[in-house]
Amino acid sequence: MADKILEVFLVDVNPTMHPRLKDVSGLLKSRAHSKVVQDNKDEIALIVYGAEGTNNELNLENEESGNPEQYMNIDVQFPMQVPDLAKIRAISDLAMVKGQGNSDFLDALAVAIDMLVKVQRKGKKRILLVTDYQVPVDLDQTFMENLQAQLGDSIILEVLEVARGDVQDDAAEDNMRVLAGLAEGRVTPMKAALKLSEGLVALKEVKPVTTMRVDLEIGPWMSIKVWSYKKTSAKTFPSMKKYSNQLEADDPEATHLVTRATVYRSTTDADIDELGPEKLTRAYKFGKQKVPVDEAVEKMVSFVAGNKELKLVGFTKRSSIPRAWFLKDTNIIVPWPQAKDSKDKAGLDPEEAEKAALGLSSLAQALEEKECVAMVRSVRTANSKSVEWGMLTPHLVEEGDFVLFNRLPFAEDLHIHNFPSFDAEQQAKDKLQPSASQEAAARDLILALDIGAKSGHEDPFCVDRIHNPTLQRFYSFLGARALDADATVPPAADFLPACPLPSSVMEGAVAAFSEVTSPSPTELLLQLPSLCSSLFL
Amino acid sequence: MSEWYDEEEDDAEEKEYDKNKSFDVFLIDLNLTMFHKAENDESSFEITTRVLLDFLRNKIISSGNDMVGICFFGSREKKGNLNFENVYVYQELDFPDAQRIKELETLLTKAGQEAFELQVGSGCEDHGKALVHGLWTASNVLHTATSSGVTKRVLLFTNEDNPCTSEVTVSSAISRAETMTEQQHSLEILPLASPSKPFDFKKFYTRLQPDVADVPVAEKLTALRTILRKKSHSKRRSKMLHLHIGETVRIAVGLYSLVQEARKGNTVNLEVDTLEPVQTEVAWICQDTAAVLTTVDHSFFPYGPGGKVVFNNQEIAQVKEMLPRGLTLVGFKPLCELKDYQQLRSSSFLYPEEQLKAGSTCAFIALHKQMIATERFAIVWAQTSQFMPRLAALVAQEEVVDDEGQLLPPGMNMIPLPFSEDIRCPEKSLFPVTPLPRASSEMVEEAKKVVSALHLQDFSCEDIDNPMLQKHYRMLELLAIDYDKDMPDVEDSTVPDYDGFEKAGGASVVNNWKSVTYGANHDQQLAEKAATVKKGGSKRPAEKSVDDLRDASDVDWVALAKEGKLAKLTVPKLKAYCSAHKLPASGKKDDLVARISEHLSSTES
Repeated sequence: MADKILEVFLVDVNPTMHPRLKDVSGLLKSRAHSKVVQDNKDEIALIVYGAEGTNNELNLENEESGNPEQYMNIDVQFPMQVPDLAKIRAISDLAMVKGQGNSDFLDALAVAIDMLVKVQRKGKKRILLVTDYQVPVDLDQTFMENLQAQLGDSIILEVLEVARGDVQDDAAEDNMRVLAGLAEGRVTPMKAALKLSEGLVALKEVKPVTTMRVDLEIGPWMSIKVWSYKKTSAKTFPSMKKYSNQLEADDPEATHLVTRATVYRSTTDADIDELGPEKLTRAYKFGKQKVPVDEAVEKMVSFVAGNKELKLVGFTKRSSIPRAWFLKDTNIIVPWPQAKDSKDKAGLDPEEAEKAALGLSSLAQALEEKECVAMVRSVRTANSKSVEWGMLTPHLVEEGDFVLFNRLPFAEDLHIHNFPSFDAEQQAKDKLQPSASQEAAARDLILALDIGAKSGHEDPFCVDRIHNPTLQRFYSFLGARALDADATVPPAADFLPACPLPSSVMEGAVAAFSEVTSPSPTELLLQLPSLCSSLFL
Repeated sequence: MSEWYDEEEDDAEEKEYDKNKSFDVFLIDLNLTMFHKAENDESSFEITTRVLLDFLRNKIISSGNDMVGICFFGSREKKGNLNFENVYVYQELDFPDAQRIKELETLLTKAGQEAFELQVGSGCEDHGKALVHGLWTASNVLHTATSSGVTKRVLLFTNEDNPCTSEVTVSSAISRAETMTEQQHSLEILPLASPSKPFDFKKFYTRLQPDVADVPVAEKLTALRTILRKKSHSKRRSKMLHLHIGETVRIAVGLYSLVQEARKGNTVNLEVDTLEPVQTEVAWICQDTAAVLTTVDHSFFPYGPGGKVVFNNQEIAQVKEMLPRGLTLVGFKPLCELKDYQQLRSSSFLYPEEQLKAGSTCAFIALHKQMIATERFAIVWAQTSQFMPRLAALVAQEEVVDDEGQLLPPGMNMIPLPFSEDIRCPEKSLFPVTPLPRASSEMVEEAKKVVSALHLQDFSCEDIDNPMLQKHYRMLELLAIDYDKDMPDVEDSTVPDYDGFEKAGGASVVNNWKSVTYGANHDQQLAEKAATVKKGGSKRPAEKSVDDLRDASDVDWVALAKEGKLAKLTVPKLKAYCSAHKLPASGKKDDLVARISEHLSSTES
């Protein structure tokens, strides 16, 4: 599992920031919301500086040692915690904070660092500092060096810079330079951050996990050491639990949970009320018969594939496998990597890792050049009850030469039927064959609605980069509903990617096509009798 | 003109196709030549029986709701509701089962055939009349099973291309066929030809069905099997919907699944005493009040610790409804832009539905032809009622025909495409900085020789049976009738044919590739490395067992066992005891505890 992240949102609320706090709150809210909905155990804290009040541990500690004037106007809104609705509300209230206090980012950073250092839980520690650099700071060299040392390697500082107003002065310039230094260049302008997020919920990156570590066997003579990963995996609509509204929503005792109870009843004896598990047995169906299953039967009917393996079955022409026959999601096969260090037991020594890379690279390139695919048999684990079969196709990219593994159907998975031919003779009989002008119209339509990638231009509709609009719509609705019980579903248009073609192009091309291909009413009448007979052939 | 595209047909949209069942009656010719055997060959009757067996077994695997019946015509004896001479209803329309399969299997044995000759027999005087009555009977068998939304077929097996001797029988056969069409019983003719007895449709059968001449004549068992296998899947249209192009154009299409993973059936629950099915009732119970809920129309999403955000079901449905139902065209891209990794699940097949929207076929064919000509595919949004929309690629598929008939139907395949959230890039995170070494042209040349040498001729996915399903159903078949037969060996056709590789000269080409890519003394290096690892590793087990003994010795095992507190120990401790006492250290914690208790009690006594 990926490490959890412990992040401090450190927000400048000095007067010059006030007009921008709404945007800041929106951005931070969406970050926090992402963490909540993915339930990834990340924690956040919110600290504002330049606030009216003061609430932080450094200030208290100093007060105890008789120095109450230190670290003033730095207000911890909430400490490091797993975010929940209350935290989201606190972030969203940030827009209303109108701090008039006086405090600078160096003190604020010290408070944030102190908080992170004191947190006992493990995780990646980060500070996100939001500021417009306007508050003049006493750039005390020793204090800064001290901060730098404390940040060290263990805490990552990121600066979100809010566009500065018209006032340009040296103090702000200095602040910017200092902060850029402390953040080691991790400075993002607010505008870019807003644009990047586009209000989207950042979905959790899945840490890649190998699905198989195995030798790709080429006959009994040669093998290539490889790892296999998932290349695609469908993110499904979030699953939700059933909710019972028997008790009031604000009833503190209510769990609102619903459980599922299954009752089995006898079909032969009406007197038996309910059959307990001891009165039940499982059975497989064979046609209309049912074969009761016990352990011995289970063993008899199940297939045992044997060793874990990935074996070449043979090569065949790429064109002999229809693209539409790919059965499931795709896996990528990469060469077994080199060990990162001496502790990395999974990796290979450099010599063997290079051989694996060269072996896979030569196979991938040979497949590419010969326009062939490698058919393979795959068994994922030893003594597995399932065997997969599919094909390897080349995947030649910047990072190296790989192959993709797509599963192919077995004979039982193919349900190919005959459909009436589109050839001229057959369809002309039914007056369904397009005329030359109709075909020309179709061609014009296809060419007019071209959204292919052109070299030198950005792909107008790169499917790989399009976010799932429904998930975004759901998470956005969820965020709104969390804060406001009356929130309604946001309009779909806010989430759908922009149409890659101007609507004038679309309308023009479609009008021309529809003009030519729509049947006239008289043609229709002629068609009807023949239509009826051609149904459900 | 475009008003034809504008009319509202909302009720027709996405109409679920309910013809999900099919009833098939086989009508098999029993004239004497059906039993003739060429040397070392099987008779037409035996071939038919084998193909039927295949058909029944496939039905069981692929579609549990379909029924099959078997009738003979030209038989000596008679049987059936209509009581016609020379017609014998051998198996009434019912779900296929092991008993029926066994009955057919015995027909392949000598004793079985002798019994069949006594029971049914072959021979009749007027073969044409028998055919007419056979068709009538088959229709009657289909008709008795009244069930709406069922595809009904009569599949006629015959080797006689001219069964009628008089024009009178011919015309009664024709009128019989017409009645069948009215009843929506389709008739399919499966001719059996042999080199000595060719089959000519024009002699008679074209008069029954004008377009029957297109049906291929099978001379080989394998060909007939393939044809029938196709027929054993009923054509299932899962949905009818519209392809929207811009605001004005709508093309009606049917959605079919031609590729779908077949799984073994789920188990059902039976009552243990009677082995009768049980009735299952599911209830939703509120945890707070223990009330049984008749409807649960709200659900919640956990929001932070303890938080719940509640939605009603309509809202969730509304969230998923992003676009008009059906397919919405985005644009066209060149075919080369469809990548092999843009793949999530099996595709669907699209075919125009003229009766839902006139003009659909014409517009569809025009697009189909031009998409092939321009090498483009279409990108569409696919929105259905239950699921969130996805982008999909529509790829035109050309019809492929060979001597045995249509191999691939014409139409478009709809391939669901992954969104950016669905794509992972392990190759980027694993090898981010320096690109991996690439093979030299010399290595690639050697690899290409291997690709040529180990090329599979006439390869087809349709030849690869699923060994898991085959084993499952073969064994169930045995268990269902428990007859004494040797355990069938289920062939695993996914296992590579290393003998074939050897014959194709695989050894030398692969070894050349290996030595060019890995260096000449790769095997030797590997052996050396393995040897050093072994040396290093051999000491550890001994040390470990000493450790184990020590680990195990600081526990009072006997006392704990007596108090039943063994389970309080950690698994490593339990395992340490096991290995110290040479017991197997595998299994779950409960197994370990049980094993140790047993060992302790046996050593004590």
